[in-house]
Amino acid sequence: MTAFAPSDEAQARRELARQVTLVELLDRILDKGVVISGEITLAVADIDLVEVGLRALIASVDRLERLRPENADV
Amino acid sequence: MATPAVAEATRVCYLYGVVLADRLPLLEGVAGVGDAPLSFVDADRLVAVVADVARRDFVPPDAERADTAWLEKAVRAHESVLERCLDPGPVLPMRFATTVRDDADVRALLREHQIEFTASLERLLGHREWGVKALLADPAALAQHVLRIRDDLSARDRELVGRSPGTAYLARKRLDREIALAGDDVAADAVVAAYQRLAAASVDALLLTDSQPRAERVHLNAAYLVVEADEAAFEAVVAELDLEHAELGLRYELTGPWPAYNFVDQPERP
Repeated sequence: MTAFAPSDEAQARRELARQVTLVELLDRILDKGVVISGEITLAVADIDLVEVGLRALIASVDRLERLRPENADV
Repeated sequence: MATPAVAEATRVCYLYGVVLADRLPLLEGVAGVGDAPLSFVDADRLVAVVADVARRDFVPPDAERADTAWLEKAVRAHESVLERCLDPGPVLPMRFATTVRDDADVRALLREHQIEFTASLERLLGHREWGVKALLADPAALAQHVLRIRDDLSARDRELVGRSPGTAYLARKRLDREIALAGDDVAADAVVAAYQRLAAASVDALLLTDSQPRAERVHLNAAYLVVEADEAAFEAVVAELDLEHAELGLRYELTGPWPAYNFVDQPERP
């Protein structure tokens, strides 16, 4: 049994802290790292589809960032 | 074009990175992408860290329904494996979601790129990558600083204080805009100086132009390759900058150590 339901605000704060480190991670991972090309690697289409997903992930991080109160346009 | 055999494969070999054979990481207790167990594939002095994964995991059904939760977990798993590799020595990080058919192909890749991979890893020995960002944490502090150093703007600011809001509205908007622009210049000069001071405390530095959006405005995003023995000194420079530039509203953020994403050479395209 849970004694306290975490407030929406606390939950949102924790979520933001988690997302900020994800932002740092995406900054490092996207378009970085050694790219090997040639016949050995799998069809390039597979990788492109992963990148489509990565863009969706970035978009969701971006949306969350804009929810922060200091970013809200008044 | 993929050969039919590849296109039909259900399991593929996920390639995380390459390490030196005498700098093997401990793989116990670290969860890889899709929780697939990790293993090594070696070829002479090079060892690849790999995992057998389900191929369909890397083919989201379509862009609209991309499974971002799965992908986030995968991105974090990719990074945590590479960070584990970083414990005993350098790692060449492969691009996220690099997959090949099987271990034999990994071995062939290591042989094909043996000279450049070995050279890159030896160059990285004893060095680690760190990230530094300067964020505008306190825009009001920067505006106050501009008023302190710009007599012309502060004179106009004082003059507007006494006027009624209605008549002063447009003048106030114009002045605020000018203060913001002057603040951009001040922050830009400050972070250029910061970048150079940090570069002097490192062996290689790279200004990164792109940054994922942050709640605070990113004024500096840079990567540094630092000698491990100099890491404390490097961190001290970041702390000094954070203190010195607090009056400009800037906050410095140090991240790392990272796999040397920004300091690895790309192999020659065949």
